[in-house]
Amino acid sequence: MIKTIIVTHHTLADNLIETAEIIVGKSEHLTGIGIAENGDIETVRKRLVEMIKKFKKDGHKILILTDMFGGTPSNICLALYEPGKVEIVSGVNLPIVLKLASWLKDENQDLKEIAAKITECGRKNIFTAAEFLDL
Amino acid sequence: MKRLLFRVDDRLIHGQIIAAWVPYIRATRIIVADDQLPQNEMLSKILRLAAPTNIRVEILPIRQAVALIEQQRSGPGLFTIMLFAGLDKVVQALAAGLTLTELNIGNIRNAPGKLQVSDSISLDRKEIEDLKVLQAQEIQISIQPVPTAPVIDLMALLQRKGLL
Repeated sequence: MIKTIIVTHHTLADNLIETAEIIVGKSEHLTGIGIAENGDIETVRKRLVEMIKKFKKDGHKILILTDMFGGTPSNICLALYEPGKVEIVSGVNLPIVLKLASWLKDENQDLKEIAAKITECGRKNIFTAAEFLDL
Repeated sequence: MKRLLFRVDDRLIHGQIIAAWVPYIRATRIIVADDQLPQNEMLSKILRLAAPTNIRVEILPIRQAVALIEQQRSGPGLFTIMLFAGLDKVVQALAAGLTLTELNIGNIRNAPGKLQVSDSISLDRKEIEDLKVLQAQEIQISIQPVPTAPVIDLMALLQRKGLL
């Protein structure tokens, strides 16, 4: 099974998950970690490492979603990348979280494939009104 | 308009730097001055990746970083952000010959036993001593997380809090 950890600045991770759960219902596969303005990044790193260790011990693979490439959450997570075991996608948005909540119900997902699909989903869900409304 | 920024930030290259300071300074170069980091390939690689692709990132031991900035202080295409992970590294840079009149303090992490002096800055005794060393060199030390935030005089703030 794939476990998803969303790692962001401030409270965005928890807000994204709460919002997604209002729309598609509770998901036991999503966990949020927010890095506070004055947060100790070492503490966050250790918490992440522990969480990943536990998930791996339980036989899960891990998908990490971060909010912005180059930001502290992303910088911390990139060091935890393990091809095929811990995959990382940066630039999380609500469509991604919604899609994941439903995809992760299927237990036989391939982690690399999910990471690629979710990246495409995030990109494809950004539009200008003009694309639809300009006649 | 400032074209050179010296900043203490334990997150080094991160969101505030790339999204706010780089466009403000119109920086083309980020120098990270640190004696340990150049040996850590993985972390160095991540930091390089964190910067926008049109920014040159130099991760150098303090002595070399100081030599580089003193040699090429500014000039066309050399708008620079110089980052230090901690106050002790600034003190070392001064000893290595850095000319410094203004220092921006971004993030200094909290930890047990440290005193939180602003949203993003917590200090221990040693760090307050480092600040006094910098103050003695008549360096203007300010808290300013991002360019749009008000500039706060850190030493005046510490004075008011009775920490000096």
